[in-house]
Amino acid sequence: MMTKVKTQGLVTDLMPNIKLMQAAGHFLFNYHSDNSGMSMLLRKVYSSVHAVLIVVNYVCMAINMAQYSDEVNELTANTITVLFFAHSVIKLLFFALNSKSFYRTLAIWNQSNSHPLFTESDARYHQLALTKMRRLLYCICGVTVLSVASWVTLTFFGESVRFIANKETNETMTEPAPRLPLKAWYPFNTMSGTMYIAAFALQIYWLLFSMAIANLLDVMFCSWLIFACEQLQHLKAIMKPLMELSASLDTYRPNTAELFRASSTEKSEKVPDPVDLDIRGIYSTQQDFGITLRGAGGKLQTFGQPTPNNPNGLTQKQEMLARSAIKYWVERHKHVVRLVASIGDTYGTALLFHMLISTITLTLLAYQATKIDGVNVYAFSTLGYLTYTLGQVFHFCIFGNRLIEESSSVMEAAYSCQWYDGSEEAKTFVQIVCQQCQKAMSISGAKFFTVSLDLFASVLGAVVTYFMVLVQLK
Amino acid sequence: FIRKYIFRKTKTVADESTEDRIYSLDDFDDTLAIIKKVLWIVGLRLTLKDSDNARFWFSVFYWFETANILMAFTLQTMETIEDTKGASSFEDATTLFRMIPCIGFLPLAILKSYKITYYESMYENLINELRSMWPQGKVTEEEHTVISKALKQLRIVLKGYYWCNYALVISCVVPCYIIIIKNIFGKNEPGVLPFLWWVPFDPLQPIVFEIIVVIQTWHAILVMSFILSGDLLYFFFISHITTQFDLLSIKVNRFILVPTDQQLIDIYPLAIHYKNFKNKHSPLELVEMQNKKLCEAIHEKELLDIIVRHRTLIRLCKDVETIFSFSLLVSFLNSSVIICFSNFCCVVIEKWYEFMYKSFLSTTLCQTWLICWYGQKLLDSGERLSQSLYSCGWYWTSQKIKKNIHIMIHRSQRDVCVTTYGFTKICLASYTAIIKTSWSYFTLLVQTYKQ
Repeated sequence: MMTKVKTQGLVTDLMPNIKLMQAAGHFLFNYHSDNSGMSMLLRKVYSSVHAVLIVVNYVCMAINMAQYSDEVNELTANTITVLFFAHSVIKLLFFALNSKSFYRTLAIWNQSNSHPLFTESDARYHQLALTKMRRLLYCICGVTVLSVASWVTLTFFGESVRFIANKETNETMTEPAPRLPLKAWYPFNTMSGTMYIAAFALQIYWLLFSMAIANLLDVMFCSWLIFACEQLQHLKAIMKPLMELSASLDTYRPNTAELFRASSTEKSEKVPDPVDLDIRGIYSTQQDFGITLRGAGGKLQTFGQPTPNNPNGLTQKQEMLARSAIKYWVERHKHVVRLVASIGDTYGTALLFHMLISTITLTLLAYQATKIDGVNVYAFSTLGYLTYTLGQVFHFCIFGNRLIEESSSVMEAAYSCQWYDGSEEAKTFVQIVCQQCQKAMSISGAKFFTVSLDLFASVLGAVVTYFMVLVQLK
Repeated sequence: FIRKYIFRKTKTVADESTEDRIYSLDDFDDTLAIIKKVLWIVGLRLTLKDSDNARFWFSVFYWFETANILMAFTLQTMETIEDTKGASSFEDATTLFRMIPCIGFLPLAILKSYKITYYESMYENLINELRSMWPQGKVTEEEHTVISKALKQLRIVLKGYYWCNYALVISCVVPCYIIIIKNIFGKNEPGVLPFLWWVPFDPLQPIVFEIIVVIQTWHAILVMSFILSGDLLYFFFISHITTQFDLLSIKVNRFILVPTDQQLIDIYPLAIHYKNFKNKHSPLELVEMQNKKLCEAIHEKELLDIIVRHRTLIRLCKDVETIFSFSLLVSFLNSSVIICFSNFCCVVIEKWYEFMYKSFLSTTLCQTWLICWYGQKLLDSGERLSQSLYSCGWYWTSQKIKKNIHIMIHRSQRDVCVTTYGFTKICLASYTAIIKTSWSYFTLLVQTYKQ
């Protein structure tokens, strides 16, 4: 009987993604409930079979490219296809070689610190992150299935030919080729009959699984970034109540007990009405000492004598809570920084390879795009390749950009809370946090470039420039 | 029996690791050994105490070598200019392309070694200061990881670079010797000089030819040694400064103790430091550490040491910048020109089974990459220091220490790096810029060639 595997942290959040990756044939052997030798062996066999099939078909495509390399158009088209699917092979290999690094990143958030006053906010933003991650997964899965479907549909339109260069007359002729989604060399004749159907089925399987392999890994990367961004949102949201708490340590503030009341609505985390600040002595803080702590269980002892050097008359325990809030904030922020660093280490090289191959593919696609002469199969397939490649780059650029924005906006949040009313301790805390958050956290592709919308803009700009120049030269 | 054997094996491994964690100045001097070998060929005496007489003769030797290289440079340039004048078609100009890389190296070699003579005191000061900072005695596990990794990398880079350069020189020169040997055995092949010189007489006469080949071999070794001396010293300094930055980061991470609780759970790094401290010290000392005034005094003193060390390292980086920036600029310009031309020759002139230009291209790419990689390492180590300043337990100290740490964070966020004479920082991003520029010049050349 398969018992539910006990997971925590990021692994629980990303479980659907992980299961899909295991199904697609990635070499992901952890996070199963049943770890007996037999099932491990079965899983390894499953992944190896997928890997072998994918690599073999890829090599067949490459052989086809080498075979028909005389004619320029045919060569360009085949090169684009080969480069397009190079992503899948590379990502499959990359994960297999680097799986330890991936496991380490997934395990970073297994345990995190907590503070009784901020558990509410923590849970809320965690839930937000979860929703966004699921939505992204469904979206990308949908896009993958749609792409495969439209590819297969497009196969049935247009002439099923390939271009050959006639050596004597130096002009291009067409020669009939099998009507398959991908041009590949097979050792058997695939023009018609059962072999044709078998090859077709193999190619549909191959298309689906290789696209899924590449996309699922990207989704995992982007899900990590979503998680990090939501954690930063949580930190920004608790900055205001933290300032209030810290201010209550050594300046007189009415309604201090409101701050210590951890409730579910956001309103109570807001700063009390500034008008009240001027009215001193009217509010009797003696009454407002009730503390209800969710998650810590039960009421605290609230009726000890107020300490003499505390103007708001907070008890020892409440003072400790206020001090520990800063500790919680800083340690949580450091945890997020470690997570982002680990993400960058794990996935940076894969991003570098992706960008290298995409740059070459997009250059060739720009050349192909100049030859579009009407609404036909050629136009659709070229535009399809273009949108898909640009979409892949956009996918991780936008999440990388969001991370950069979130991490530098922490400074905004720190500045926009009422730090001037806070204690000296709070002010130094704001100072150091602002200083640290000036340098935004970002993901770099093995130090060569930073993943942000600037990168996408430069890629897009380069493609458009190339296209314009080539059109002019024609 | 098996269990006993395995137990014994693990025990020896554990013993070895504690043995390894003891460092001494010998480790530092070892890294300098190969550089001293190169400098001996060049005739520069760094960190060596010579009598005035020996010093005089060595400087004579050095200037004699420099004069040789200058002569080679003038002769080659003259020959190239003659060739260009006589070149009728583009094909003849390809011999020009063969010579341009060689000509580029000569002034670079002179520049690099000249810097060593001009800034000799600065070099010696750098070496001595880095030597004084080297950790001696037993170090902690973390420090040991950092130091051993850096030492291993430095050894591989120094040795590899040294031998690769020798291999390059030999591959340039050996074909000529093979022809000479063939001629001795009776075959009458026309001699091929390694480098083309303009000489007022026919260089291919029987005895004159051999002499010129020997002289050119010696020149090639000289040029290579001059360039090696500059580059190896650059790698040496950057590697040691980076190691010191990393050791400083480790020290910063450790110097404030923060107790564990719900906000600082056991698996966080600061909590691990606290646990290690608890294991090493008695409970009485732990209670002492709770005393805020005592803590503050200890923290102040340690922070002062850290600040002084940080300032020293920044000053040493500035020194490295002063010494190396101009020669690195010339080196980069040289490399981009060579990459462009060798790429062109690889694609247009050479067949796919020939290797001369391909090896030239790959060695230049590797050399530039190595320089940029070391520059990036320096940049990264400075950034790691700023990260570790934030990740120490600053929120658990007094206001005074917090303010000091804040100013330190501010300074450490500014990049500590070497620049090419102010134009660009030396890092992997600038490497991509060089490749891109060379690529665009290469495509331009190919276009002009096609017409």
